[in-house]
Amino acid sequence: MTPGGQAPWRHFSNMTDIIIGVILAGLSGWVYLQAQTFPRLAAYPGPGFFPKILALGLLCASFCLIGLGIRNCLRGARFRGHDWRVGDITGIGNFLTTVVLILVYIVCASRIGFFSPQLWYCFCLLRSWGPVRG
Amino acid sequence: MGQVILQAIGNFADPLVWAAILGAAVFGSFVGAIPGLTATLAAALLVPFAFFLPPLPAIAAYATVSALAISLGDLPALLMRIPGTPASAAYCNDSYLLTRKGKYARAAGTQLIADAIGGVIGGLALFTLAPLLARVAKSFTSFEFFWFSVLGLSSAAIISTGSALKGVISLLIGLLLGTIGIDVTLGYPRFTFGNPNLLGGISFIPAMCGLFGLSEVFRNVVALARGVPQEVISARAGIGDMLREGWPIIRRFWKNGIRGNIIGVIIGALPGAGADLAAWIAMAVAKRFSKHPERFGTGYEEPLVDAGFANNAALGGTWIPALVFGIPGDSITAILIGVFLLHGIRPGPLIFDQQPVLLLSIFLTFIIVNALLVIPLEGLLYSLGSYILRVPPRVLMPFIVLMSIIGSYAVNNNPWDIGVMLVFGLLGYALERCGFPVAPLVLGLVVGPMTELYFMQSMIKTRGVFLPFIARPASQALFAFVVLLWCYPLLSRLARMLRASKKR
Repeated sequence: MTPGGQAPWRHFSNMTDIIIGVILAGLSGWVYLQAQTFPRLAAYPGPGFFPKILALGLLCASFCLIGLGIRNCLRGARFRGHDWRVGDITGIGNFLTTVVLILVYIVCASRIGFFSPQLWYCFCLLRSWGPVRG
Repeated sequence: MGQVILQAIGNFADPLVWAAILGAAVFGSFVGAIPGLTATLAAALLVPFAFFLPPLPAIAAYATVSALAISLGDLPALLMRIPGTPASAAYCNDSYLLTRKGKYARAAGTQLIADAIGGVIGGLALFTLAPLLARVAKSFTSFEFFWFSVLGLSSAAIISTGSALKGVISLLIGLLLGTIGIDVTLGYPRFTFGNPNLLGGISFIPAMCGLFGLSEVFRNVVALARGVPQEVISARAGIGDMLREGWPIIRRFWKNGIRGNIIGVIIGALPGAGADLAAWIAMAVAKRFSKHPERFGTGYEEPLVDAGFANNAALGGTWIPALVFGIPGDSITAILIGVFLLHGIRPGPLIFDQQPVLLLSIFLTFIIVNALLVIPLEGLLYSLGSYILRVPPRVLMPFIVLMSIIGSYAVNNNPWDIGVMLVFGLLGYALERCGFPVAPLVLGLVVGPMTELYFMQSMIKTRGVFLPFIARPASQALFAFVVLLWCYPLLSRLARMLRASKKR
């Protein structure tokens, strides 16, 4: 929930729905084609049966999402763009720092062990986010 | 039976059980009281401890952490108008406005008592209903289990909070992710891209740590820079004052309390619904039948009773499908199922025969925690008031990342799982930003492989014919429920349109 008690899913926009719908439609198409290559059985559904059903379901749902997005655009006579900004520059920096540090941690943990990089890691995050300024 | 009861009580002589319960109680209270940190996050962060603990202390810690996190979610609602957990959102305005009116002791006391009694009722419902349902479920074959899984998946998508279409999409993404790995019929590797780490499928615990732990961190670190300070009311009251002022409210609205408990247990037992939906429904029902519906949202005590009872009673309810059918009632019980599996225990009707002592100990934990720990611990933190809310997120977040990493790595000692956590953290954050609920995805990931297994078993039995799927009475009833659930949105829309045309 957001501070005002408003549910976060209300913050959708038509533009985002259309773009996500297109991405999901592409993904479901790819899953369907991949599932077609799985071996088939004569009497029973094979390994591709479930993924194919799910891919078709996702394809239908993504078309519905695209359709709803377009309908809302036409109905509302205004095309609300999505606020693509993740945050301000510090926020994006914090986000990227977290991702990069986890990736570095994965590399370190497999080479120098699991525990020792943790202390360094925690210090880096604290330093990067504010409480331990140099 | 007598021996089972004695053994279950005897389990509480183990100091490790008490240490786990008390540790989880403090941890759950702290997480629940911090705005934005949810009970599910608390459950995900407990994984590394659950991994090293024996089964009973680990599972008792989960019962405790969920009860205390949901209960303490009311504290920031009282002092900051921000629900600590989504389960407190329904009555956030009323509790905050009561505090503003100088009635902090009354609002806090009402919530304190409602949390404790609701939790005990939820525990008793679990204690009585789960064994009965398990007895029925023992006669179930793969057909009924298949339909029950489909029912769980359907309700997760349709009933879950937010847009139904986005719920369905989230569920389908979860189900597709669940198909990764070796398939159940031929042992054929699906979507593994030749990576041996994916042969066993997506590791569930790292996925949960990412979806609920890391995504929360991403949300917070992005907001750190904005850092708009939130006003915190400096209200304080002793536990005695809270109980003295809260009890008359509970007595005045005792019928609401009973109704809230019933709604909580029923909604909690629906897969995918959970405590937050139970609180919202209890509040809506309370408003519908209240003598003063106009007072709701203006600092009125009645919604606090209904929703306060409902969200705590729902916790016991969510454990019913998880224990009886192995289908999680909410995100917390989805993680719990992972913990059961970590300890080599498979939830389902047979667990009632195989692990009666463990189950009775779990039921007892529920009742002990809610009856003995909620009032003193919640009361203590309520009496400390605003002090606990002043912990800055920038200090907390690194530790949440660290706990998520430990939780992910500890399961298989494989750095790959940390990568899985990272991917799911990004996925969870992206889904939330785009307005997709995460709970259906979790259920899809857990219940999907199970549904496919039951479907394939049934297909092999029937030699590829679908009609026997609805041949048995129980399967027919479950099938009818599924159809009704999918048709309900359409039927209710039709009914609304008919009503509107009649009015015209």
